Amino acid sequence: MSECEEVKLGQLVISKMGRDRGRLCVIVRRLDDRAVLVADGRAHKFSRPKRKNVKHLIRLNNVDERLEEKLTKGIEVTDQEIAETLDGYRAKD
Amino acid sequence: MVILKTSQEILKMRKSGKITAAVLAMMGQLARPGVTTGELDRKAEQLILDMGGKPAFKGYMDYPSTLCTSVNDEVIHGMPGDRVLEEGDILSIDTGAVLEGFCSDAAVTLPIGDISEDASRLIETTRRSLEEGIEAAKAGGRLGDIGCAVQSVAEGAGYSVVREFVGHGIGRKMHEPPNVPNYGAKGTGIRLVGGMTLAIEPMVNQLSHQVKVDDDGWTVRTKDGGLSAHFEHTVAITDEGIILLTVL
Repeated sequence: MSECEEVKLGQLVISKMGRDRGRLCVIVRRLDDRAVLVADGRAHKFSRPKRKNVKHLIRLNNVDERLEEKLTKGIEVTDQEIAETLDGYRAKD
Repeated sequence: MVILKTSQEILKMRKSGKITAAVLAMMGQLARPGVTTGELDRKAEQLILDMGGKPAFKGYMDYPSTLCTSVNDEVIHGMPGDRVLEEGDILSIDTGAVLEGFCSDAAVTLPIGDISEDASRLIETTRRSLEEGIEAAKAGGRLGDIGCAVQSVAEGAGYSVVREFVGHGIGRKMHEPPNVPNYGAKGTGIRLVGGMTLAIEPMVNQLSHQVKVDDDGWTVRTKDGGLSAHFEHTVAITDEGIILLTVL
């Protein structure tokens, strides 16, 4: 949530501004203190992630450890992996 | 008269539903011991406005808040205020948004900190009763199929379903025909057809199904003081299958 100061790779977020508002995504890169790149494996592919202002995201406490590890080490992540991770979260909710 | 929606209208309701789903996801992060229901309400309202929508409940029949926050034996329509959530409480949050003229409505019951096994089983059963109710909603089927599925799960686990309050059709208005009871017999009631948009919302009580309304005119609680849980999704019935509208 917005209370959670640190932005983590692999962290699940919901867009609250822009055409994609309400979309569940995952943070794939940090740009600076204010901006990140997000992907959902479908509309926002890993190869072409969307730039978002962190203020325009609801940051969830959920961080997918598998994605976090890969993203931190710079290992390629597939869109299918991202989409499946997000579907898993949706199913739980 | 049941108002059927075009695919464009369903798409608008889907956008509205994403806002409602985002609010509930955010509430799942914020609801913890020590937080007041009033604080949750303020954050929820801000988020809906940030996302370009309007709270659907606020002002509806003069209801003053964005959320309904019902704790423990409160079934539905609990009003946010100074109540501080405590470890072991269960909190039902019901909310809705309006976007481009279309409403969406959804609810979840959240555990506050560590909760008892009994409470946890009630929550899981209620969630499952909603899933089964949604599964049973098919074009060509009957309205009673939904209630029957919900009731079977809830009563099968030894609980009861509330009779006085029911799910409803939804669209440009929060409440449209038909009523969607959480009880009934399979194969009865009106026929379900593509274009119907319904809010399916099982309210499941731990003990008796009887409820009473507080003097505030809103808060509904169990008569016997047993716990109650509530889950809800807005769904669209189409000829190709059911679409969940209040998911991320």
